[in-house]
Amino acid sequence: MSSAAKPLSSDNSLPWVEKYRPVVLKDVVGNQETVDRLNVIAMCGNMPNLILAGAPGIGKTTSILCLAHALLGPTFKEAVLELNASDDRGIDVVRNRIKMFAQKKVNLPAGRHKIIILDEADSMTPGAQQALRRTMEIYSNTTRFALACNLSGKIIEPIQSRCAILRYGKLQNEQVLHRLVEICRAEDVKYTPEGLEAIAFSADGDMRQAVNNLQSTASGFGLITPDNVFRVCDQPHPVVIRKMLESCGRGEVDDAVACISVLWTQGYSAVDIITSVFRVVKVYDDLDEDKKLKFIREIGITHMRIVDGLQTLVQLQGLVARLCKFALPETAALIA
Amino acid sequence: MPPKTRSNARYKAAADDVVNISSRETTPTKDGSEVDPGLDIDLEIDSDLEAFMEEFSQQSSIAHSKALIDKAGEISSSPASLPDSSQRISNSSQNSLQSSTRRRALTDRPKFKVVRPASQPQLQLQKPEAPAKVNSFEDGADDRGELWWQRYEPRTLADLALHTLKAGQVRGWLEMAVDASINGNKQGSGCFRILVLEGPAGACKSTCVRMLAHELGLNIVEWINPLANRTSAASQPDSDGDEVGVVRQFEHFLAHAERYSGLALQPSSEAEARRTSTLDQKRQIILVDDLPNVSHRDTRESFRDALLRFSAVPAQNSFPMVIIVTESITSQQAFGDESAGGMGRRFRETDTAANSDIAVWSAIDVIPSAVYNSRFCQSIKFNPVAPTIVAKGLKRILQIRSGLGDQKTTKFSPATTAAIKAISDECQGDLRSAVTMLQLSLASYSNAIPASSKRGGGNTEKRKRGAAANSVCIGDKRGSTNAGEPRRVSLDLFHALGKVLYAKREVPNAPNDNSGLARGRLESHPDEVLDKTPVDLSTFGLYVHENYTDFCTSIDEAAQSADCFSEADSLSSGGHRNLGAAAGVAGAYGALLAVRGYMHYKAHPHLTGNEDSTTRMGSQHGRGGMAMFRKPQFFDFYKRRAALARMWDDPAASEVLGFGNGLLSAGATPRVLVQDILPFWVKIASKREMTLAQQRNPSVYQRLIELVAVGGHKNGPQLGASHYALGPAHLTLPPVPEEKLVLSDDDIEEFSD
Repeated sequence: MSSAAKPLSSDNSLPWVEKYRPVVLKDVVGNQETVDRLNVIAMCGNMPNLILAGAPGIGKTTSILCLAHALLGPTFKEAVLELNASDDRGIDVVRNRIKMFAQKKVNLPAGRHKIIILDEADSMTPGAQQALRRTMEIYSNTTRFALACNLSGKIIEPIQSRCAILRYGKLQNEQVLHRLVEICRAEDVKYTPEGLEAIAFSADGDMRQAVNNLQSTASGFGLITPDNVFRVCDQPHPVVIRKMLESCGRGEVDDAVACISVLWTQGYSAVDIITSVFRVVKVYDDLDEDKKLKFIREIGITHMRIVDGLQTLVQLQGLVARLCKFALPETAALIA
Repeated sequence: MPPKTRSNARYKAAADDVVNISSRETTPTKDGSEVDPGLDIDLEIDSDLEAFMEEFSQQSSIAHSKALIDKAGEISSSPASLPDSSQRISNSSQNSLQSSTRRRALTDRPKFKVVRPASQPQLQLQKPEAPAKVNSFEDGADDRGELWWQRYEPRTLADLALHTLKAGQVRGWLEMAVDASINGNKQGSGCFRILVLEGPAGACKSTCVRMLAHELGLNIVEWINPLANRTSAASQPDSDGDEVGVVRQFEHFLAHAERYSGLALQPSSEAEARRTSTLDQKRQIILVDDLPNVSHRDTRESFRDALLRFSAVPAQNSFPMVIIVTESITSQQAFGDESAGGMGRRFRETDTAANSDIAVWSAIDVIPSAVYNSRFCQSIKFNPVAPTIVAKGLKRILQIRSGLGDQKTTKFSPATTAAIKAISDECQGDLRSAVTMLQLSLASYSNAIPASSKRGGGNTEKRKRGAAANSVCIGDKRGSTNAGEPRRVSLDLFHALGKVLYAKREVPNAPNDNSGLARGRLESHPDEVLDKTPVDLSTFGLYVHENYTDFCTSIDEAAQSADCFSEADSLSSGGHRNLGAAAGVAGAYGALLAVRGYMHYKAHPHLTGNEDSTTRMGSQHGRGGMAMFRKPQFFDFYKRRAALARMWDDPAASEVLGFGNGLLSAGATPRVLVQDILPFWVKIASKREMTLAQQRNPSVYQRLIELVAVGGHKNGPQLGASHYALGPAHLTLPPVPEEKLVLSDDDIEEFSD
């Protein structure tokens, strides 16, 4: 993997996300099986129409670009048409630009095809997708499509039927960490292991966000520590939240409320806090199954209330109180 | 000479339309030659092509098309009123021969010939002599540059994954329609104008039509949405701003397809045209697969008008039209629709007709009801392909690939059979995606062979091996790696479902009884399962919800689980419209709650290594812990609901309903009529009422009955999004086989036929 850490160019103005974007398939982090499949396609050359589905920042676009590079090599520029949500992709674009490109003649090695990459395809209107349907068939001799989307459910069925669907799972924290270490070494950034873990936690499996956070922390403080990271990312410190949950687990209302108050006085909004609470409780393994289920339920209900507009401290404190109740015996909550 | 110029102009319009069609049609051919290294390469081809088409449309006089035009003149003048057109055209073409070198350059290019070179692989053409020998795929395994679902398109009716009855229906219609167009004037022959084929994606609709048309010797004229000429209009100032809307062009297409259809210019039909002499020139159908953008309101309306006009043309001397409507609905839209409106919207009147963006595409959305209900229009519904037939189709492909023609002698290895079965279960009746899956999984396998050769080498090697052993083997990842590989990126759906629904637990080492619920760790962690589901979280929740009753053993269990589902539902879709960024989180809460809740409350989990618990299920699901998973009915209901919603915009339908029982005058809204009264009306209406309604508007009546009949026997008139029975779920009849999705962990042996 060490080759992956080499920057594409020495240009300092590039954001690290671009600078360290993998160019060959084997450098794509995570989703080993899916990437292996793409590798196979790259080897045999006959690329079916593809749909790549998965959460943001897990390498969909990157891997499809890598695949296109592997398939087309030097002809990449002529034989690839990339359209993303920022391009106009109404029905006339599908009819005109895409068809025109499909008709375009490019000198390619035998058995290779032009590739049209439609990024963020789930933002295309159903009408435009319908128009794509027959185009895919007619030009399949020369042109193949690769659609990247967050939810494959937003692609209409006739298109899904014409494509092989590859799913991308969330990246594991270790995978993100590994990559971050590589980048830190290449950029010569000082870091503590906890700092990188904090970045991985705050990114929640989104590599792009992780790299961005890394860069902004590095340029802001020069040293990656958890405190710096959470200051840059502007998120409530998970350690505090974890402390709060622990207190709740023991039924110590006062301590738990104190933790919430600390966060509140630091200026975090209720949404920030509740989002972090949810994230922490998901990875909080010390809770037993029953309690965890109840916690999630209560947090969810509170989250919805907050989203509905009740962004108050009272809601958060109420949540904490209810969570504490689970730890106490039934009778303790009764008023004598 | 005003009359003459007029006819000339008309003719020109016709000719350029025809040629435009053909040049559109030839573009794939031209592109197909791209893989030929020998041909000259022109990167500006796209502008050239455009110019080419432009010139056609302006002057209709490219030199090399002269012959065609003359031919066109001969043929078209016979039915139509253009006695001297061919002469005039040749004159005009000579006049305009002052043309440039570029045009000559154009004519030099062989790829612009309208006639498709014979060496090209002709996918569209089903060769009649092919049927007996599957080996007619010259090189079985070499699929370079082609998608399997196109390459291995069936060539005979026997290979078609379709019920023979259904094919018979289509065939019968085509025969009648063609007969009507030739002989005409027979009783009722005018009815066969438009055939609507509706069905989900990958249900062989297009293939069926093409194959039958070929078998009956019909030419297919296909409508393909043209390119709008916006760039060329900008670059070429002399184009007279010919801004014809797509639908206008469609109308022209229809008109000219009728009048000048004798021109066998279609590359796809060219060979047949030669074979079937001028005698059979009438034998032609118009195929509309690529519909105009009917989600745009104006387009939809003018499209409807065009169809109306078409259906009014008498059948004789015209051609029947086949419209293929692929039902499409995106699950996300359904959810969005459900949750955005929430409860409130369900009980509010909304005007879906004015709604410009249609979520559901069904025939009723696309075809105007005035046409759809009329006697000129018949519709045939296609069902999703049944898993066994999918499996048959996949095996056929594998046999072709391995070069084994004989269906009987081929033996598939257990791994292959399992893989085929897995694919055919997973594809949900979509044959095309099944074939794609097969292609992909086979490609993965060929990589597994330590092939020193570069690309494609693995394939041939595999074929040889397969042929030598007289067996086909695909070591699908699915089958082989479940045990060995600890981290699969995505579980397949049924696996994930099984993991959740069986909620297996490890046998607790020490009984720690502090909560009564601590019964050993869950074998598969809910978070992990959810991380790897192949579908989005809400859909997965639906699946769990649909199936959980079968796995509950006590009413407490079911009640507590139901409680969780209800809360999950209220969290994930309970009218939180302005979630914004939190929208994804809501889904996560919902799914987590549903899955965790169910798994937690399941009182009698399957303990690993404890066979007793499986036998309880065994009585119900058969030995070996095999379970049927049902598809959520949400989507079916959603579709039906949308169809019903369209119905109430249809005045004819509410008239039929309101008629005879006076309900319409009693102030019932159409919505109430259709959704509440219709189901009961069908059940309780007197025979006299029914017959009256039937006489009044037979086609509407038929559709009403059909709507109610769909699933009515088992779900009753329930129209809600989800419907399930708690107790008697075990006793209800198994669903129709086609809807049944089967999971089996270890029934590989059972599936070998």
